[in-house]
Amino acid sequence: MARRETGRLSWVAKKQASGAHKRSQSVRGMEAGALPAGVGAGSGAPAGSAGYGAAMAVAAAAPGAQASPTPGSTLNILDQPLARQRGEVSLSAYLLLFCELVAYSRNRVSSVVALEARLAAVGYRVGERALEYVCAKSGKPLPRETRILGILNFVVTNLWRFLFGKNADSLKKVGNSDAEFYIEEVEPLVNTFVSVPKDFGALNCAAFQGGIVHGILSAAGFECEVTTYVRDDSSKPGSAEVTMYYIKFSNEVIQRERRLAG
Amino acid sequence: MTVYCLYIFNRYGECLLYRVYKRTYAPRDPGDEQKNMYGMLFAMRNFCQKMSPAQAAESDGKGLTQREVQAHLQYYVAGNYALHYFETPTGLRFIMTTGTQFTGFDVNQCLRRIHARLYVEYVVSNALYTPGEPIQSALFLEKLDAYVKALPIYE
Amino acid sequence: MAVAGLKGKRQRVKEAAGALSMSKGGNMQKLGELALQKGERVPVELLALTYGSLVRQVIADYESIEEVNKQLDLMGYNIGVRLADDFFAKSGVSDCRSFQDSAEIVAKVGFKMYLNVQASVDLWNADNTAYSILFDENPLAEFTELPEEYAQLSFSNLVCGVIRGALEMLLLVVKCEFVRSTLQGNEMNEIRISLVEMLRESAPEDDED
Repeated sequence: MARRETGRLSWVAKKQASGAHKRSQSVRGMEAGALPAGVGAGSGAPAGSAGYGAAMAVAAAAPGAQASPTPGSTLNILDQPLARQRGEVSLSAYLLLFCELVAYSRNRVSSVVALEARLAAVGYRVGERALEYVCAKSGKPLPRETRILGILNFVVTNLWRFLFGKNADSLKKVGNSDAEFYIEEVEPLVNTFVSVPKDFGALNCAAFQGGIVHGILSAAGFECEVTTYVRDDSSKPGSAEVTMYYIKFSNEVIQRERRLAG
Repeated sequence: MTVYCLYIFNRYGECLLYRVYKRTYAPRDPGDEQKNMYGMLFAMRNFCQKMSPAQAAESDGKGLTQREVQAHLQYYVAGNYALHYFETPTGLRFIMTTGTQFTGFDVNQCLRRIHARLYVEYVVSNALYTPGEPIQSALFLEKLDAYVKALPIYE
Repeated sequence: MAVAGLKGKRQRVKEAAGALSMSKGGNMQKLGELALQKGERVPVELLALTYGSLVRQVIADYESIEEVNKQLDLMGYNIGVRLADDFFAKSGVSDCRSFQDSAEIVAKVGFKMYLNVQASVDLWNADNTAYSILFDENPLAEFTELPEEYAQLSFSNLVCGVIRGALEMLLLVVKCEFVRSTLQGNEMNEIRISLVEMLRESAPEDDED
């Protein structure tokens, strides 16, 4: 991934990136909220670029030298450096925020299914942006995954490690189907201290993480549906409930996969 | 020597948890007993504070400068049982009744641990728990029971 | 040494007092760092993305920016109520007995151990009923830029709610709001906290028949 190269940019690269930034502003003008530095330029990058790395280079390289803002103006987010090193916050802070997210969503729905759908929707937006960010922060340029197994492996290793600090437990195919897979996880991060009371039925707050998976796959060009289940393995010794993120890819994706397989 | 019961109250007098381990006599009305317990401990706490030989020089009553020197009840022993009391700065009261042979073992430290490692993790951080309601988390109760039954004073 | 000797007594006392308060602040800082290191951590990006997505959701659910700000504060309040217990369990701070104590505790220990942010306390008012917490980086707004139509959005208002909720668990009712924010063009973030009243625990109702 091209690192920010201060002082060694061509004038052309700067112009391209500032153009891309303006495009991103008009496209996303209505949105508030989290916008990773590279997203806007990424969408404006030339098609067929070798990988995410190249797309990021256009955005990241451009406003290279940290421009100091003119007095009274907001420092443009593209002028700020990407975080210098892996920042961390406490897990408690994150889980407490998640608690409130669940409580807030609970107040606005009347069924477990709707609650899970809401959590998944919030997770979707996280996943969409996480993909770009993981690629940008990876030490080496990552290839753009075009095959199903490739992107699923990416999700289960790179992405899971980046977000949750560990790989997901396993990735499995459903029977002989090309379109259905599931990712298993014994202890989703967000469920670390959650215990579901009986009147919540089969609620699994990890639907939020399922939403993240959905967002990532969609952003990578793999349209699909993701549902989160709990499989009760208490009959087997030593294992507990396992969370499963069941992924069903759309027909277009399957057809594309078949074409690419030759 | 054993552990009889564990109670958790919040600062509004609501009993969040009443867990019985080895109690041979069960009260007819646990709700009534809990109310009495809270009321008594509230009064006793204030009494302990008032009887403290060291008080802050001046309390301005506006919460700006230091409030009273803390002099909290730790435990009391009565005939065939002892009652241990731990109160958090957030007003939670953890109460454990045990047998009288606990010298050398810091039960208050246990209550602190229950608060810090069990309550905070499995109750406060539980997305599906609403603060102020009685605790029903199966995970918390399981961990709590395991902890209490592993204590050296438990038989 | 001759130069040092020339310093008046007042100057030396002032320096000593400064050193003391710095060391108290320094201790608080260490507590915060230790608590952060002892616990588990997650990447700041996960927090920022989740929070941003949550704010987007709240904006979609409510009509006016005012309502959104209020809702974020309320959500923060609910978090703060839980956070107070978590704080005392994990920070090593045994109690917070006064409004003045709360300042250092919130800024030096709280901000560090939860958000990994270096914050400082300043701008006490004349009768010590209000102070400001100042900090540079805001991990919640790591990736955020406010478009013009959301200029009035107090994006990190949740933090104000958290402080308000946590202090209320200590019987300190405060008003807490963002005065300056880097998202809105200022060089640093400032949260102003003012004491409204101090509560007392009320005796349980006596409902003997």
